[in-house]
Amino acid sequence: MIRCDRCSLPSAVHQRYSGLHLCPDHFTADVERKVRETLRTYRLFGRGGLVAVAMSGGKDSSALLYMLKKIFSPRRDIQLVAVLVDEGIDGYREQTLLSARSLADRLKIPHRTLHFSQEFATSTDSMAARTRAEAPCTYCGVLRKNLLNRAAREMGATALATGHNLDDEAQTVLLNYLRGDVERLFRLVPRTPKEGMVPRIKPLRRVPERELAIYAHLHGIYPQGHGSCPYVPWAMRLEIKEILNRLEAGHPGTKYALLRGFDKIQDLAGPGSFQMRQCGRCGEPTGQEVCQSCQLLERLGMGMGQRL
Amino acid sequence: MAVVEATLVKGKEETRKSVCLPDGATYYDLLDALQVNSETVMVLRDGQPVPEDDRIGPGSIRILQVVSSG
Repeated sequence: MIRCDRCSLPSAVHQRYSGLHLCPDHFTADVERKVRETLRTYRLFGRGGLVAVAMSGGKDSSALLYMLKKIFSPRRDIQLVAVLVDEGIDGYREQTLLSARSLADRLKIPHRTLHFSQEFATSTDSMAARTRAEAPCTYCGVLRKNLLNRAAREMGATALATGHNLDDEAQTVLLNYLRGDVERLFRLVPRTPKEGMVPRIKPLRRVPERELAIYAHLHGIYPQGHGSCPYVPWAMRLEIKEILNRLEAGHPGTKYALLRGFDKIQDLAGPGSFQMRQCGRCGEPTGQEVCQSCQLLERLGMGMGQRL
Repeated sequence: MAVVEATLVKGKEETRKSVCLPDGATYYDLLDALQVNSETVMVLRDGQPVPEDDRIGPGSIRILQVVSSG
């Protein structure tokens, strides 16, 4: 039996990138330390405020809500609210929304669900049925981001937290490098406050996806019985995910190195000249004349739905 | 050599696997034999996570796919 490197209890986790063996308690402390350190880098919580937590009900956002509750519970000046999005994916989303609500209830965190059907008068299912030109994840993601930002802003949130983990971030960095999309790369971590945009924070960006699963399992919040989304993610992201996992297995630490390298370039680049304005159609903040959501809905032959 | 039994769990789907491994083999060896990347799974022995470089012990082994792939 292999013992924890920090105490003498049996180890539950082997971190190849650090060489450490950790027992459940020391593993938990290690994950939470990374999240606390990441939260500190945002410098947003000095005066307290409301943190809107985007929840899908999967393991990552479940672990996020659980950890934020734990980390911020001594802070009376910080409140949490879980924001759920129902994109309209029949046979899949219902179950994950149930999990998300039941965890929020268990943690005594208020939650609010936003529906594509009410906000955009459409659903991911009906958009997918209309077009094959774009992967469903493209429009589903654009509309979800739009809705989350709008909801967080209307609630007066100080920050909008999402469950993006180390794997997600490393994939995005590599993907954008490979596509030569430097602008999008630098939009990953917005540093200057932008009118109408609630600062997005990714407290889990330094925690590997695998470790979030172990964390969720150890703390009894691993979502059970979920199927997977019926829409296949964008093919190139999947390929990159596989490549990165292969590299990580052979060369532990690759994902961290990729993210660290990107963060260093980001620091050298300085603040961008990205200007925000209001979308000419819906009034949401955007870098263009018409925001991505309105462009998408127009391409799909749908107008912006009636806002309730 | 010893026969090691494990259950591969992908979402709602469970598959029983049985592989022949040398004595003293580790969970990494088991994953290699099953052609599963250790980055994408969590290995549970009797419901508890184990360090994959540990020698395979007695008890029921479940390999949960925790990182989705296509």
